[in-house]
Amino acid sequence: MRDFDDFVTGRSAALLRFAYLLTGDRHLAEDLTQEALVRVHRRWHAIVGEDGPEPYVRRAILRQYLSWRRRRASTERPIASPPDGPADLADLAERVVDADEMWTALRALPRSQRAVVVLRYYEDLPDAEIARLLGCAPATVRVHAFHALHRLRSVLTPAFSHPLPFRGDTS
Amino acid sequence: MSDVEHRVRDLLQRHATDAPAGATLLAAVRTESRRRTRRTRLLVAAVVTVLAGALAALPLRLAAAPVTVAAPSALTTPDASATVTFPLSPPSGSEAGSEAGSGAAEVRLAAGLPTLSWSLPGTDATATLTMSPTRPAMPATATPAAVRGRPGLAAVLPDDGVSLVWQESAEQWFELRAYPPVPVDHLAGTAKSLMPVPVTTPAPFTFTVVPAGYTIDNINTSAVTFCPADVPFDQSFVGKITVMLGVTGEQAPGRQVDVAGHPGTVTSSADGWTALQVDLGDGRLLVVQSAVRVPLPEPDLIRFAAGITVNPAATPGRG
Repeated sequence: MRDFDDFVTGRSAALLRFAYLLTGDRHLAEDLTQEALVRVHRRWHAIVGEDGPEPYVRRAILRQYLSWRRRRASTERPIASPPDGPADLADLAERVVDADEMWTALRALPRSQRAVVVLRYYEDLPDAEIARLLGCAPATVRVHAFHALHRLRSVLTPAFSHPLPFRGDTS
Repeated sequence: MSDVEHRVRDLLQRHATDAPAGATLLAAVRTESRRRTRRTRLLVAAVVTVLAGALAALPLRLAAAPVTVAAPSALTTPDASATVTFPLSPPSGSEAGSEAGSGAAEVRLAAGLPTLSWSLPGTDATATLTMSPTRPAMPATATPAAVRGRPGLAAVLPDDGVSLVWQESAEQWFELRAYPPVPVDHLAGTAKSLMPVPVTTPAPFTFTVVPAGYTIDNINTSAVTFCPADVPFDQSFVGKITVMLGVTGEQAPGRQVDVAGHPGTVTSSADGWTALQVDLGDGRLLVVQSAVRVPLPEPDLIRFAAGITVNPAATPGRG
């Protein structure tokens, strides 16, 4: 099953980034991604269609994140581990501070709001597609995004703790 | 896009690189996949062995007294078709604010409460009107306001929405919310323009049988949840039986079964949930997920799924 090995080798980093932003936890991200890939591995030839296996894996990760009980909720860490590889110390410090703020804010969001944030601002999906993935109306996606942005605005940085005029939530 | 949205996008892009490298992922996936394959084979072998032994021991009894399957007691005939009716309609012209894909006002059942949503014309806001038999909770800062000629309350909500609450009749309380917030006067004007024309939306599915003792607490365009008596209504799927419409290609692997002539797959987890996925043959996937404390027996799950008809207005949801 050489294609599967190539797929995991080539796409696992991107899948792990997606899972990590959803969960905010490196170990849980690995768990979700591994579970999705195990499913793919067991029926590789059945799911390789025109779009390839990646949409299936991403949907599986999202489904687990939204619908399944958190398996490692008690062990999630609010601060991400520093990235691998060399980094300037000042830059590293800034990143850790930013990460702390971001994970604190994201962890406070309900899972559906957090999923909307990641799908909208990391995956760049339109609201209609996000609504299809989440099983809700586009209006509900907009409401989730509004609530999420409101909370993130209040904690990300002091500059955003002041009320800002809402400028619409349709990208 | 606002500054906050730019900031969120930037932070997500930057910190995505903090994700684990997954250097051992491929090996872990292969190991786990092999373990599950072995486990499945052992389970199948054990079942075959037990069945073979049972059949060998009871050939005469089977021949003399054919087994009849009793009607499962976990399912019952529904009292009525699943629909959601909201007694009021949005002001005329509200549909003009709907974006492509969202259609007109949306009626759904949310945590057991009929709910109506639509885009407020001339604003970026979405209005959500909920009907309940008791007065909805309001912040202590709520102030009196006249709504539709009745005494009501207005409040700016902690999450920055704005809300109006009023009572139409003895057991009909309404709450109208808007996100992002609009001026209270604007919202009161919207409430005043609500029309006493009921809006009824059928559930995305028609059921010939339903789980006995369960109550439907959520209906939207792609899913219906059946809530056990000992679980409070909410908008989640946890602790409930959920029927969803998806698209093929999302199937999880599992044991193959026949569901009224359609290929089905049964998947179970160590957490105690079971999912039956039925390929409808037209690109859509019917999913019946049982995440209840006392799960439906598999024959009932299959009979329940076999009695489900997908209505034309249903739209595939979560992937």
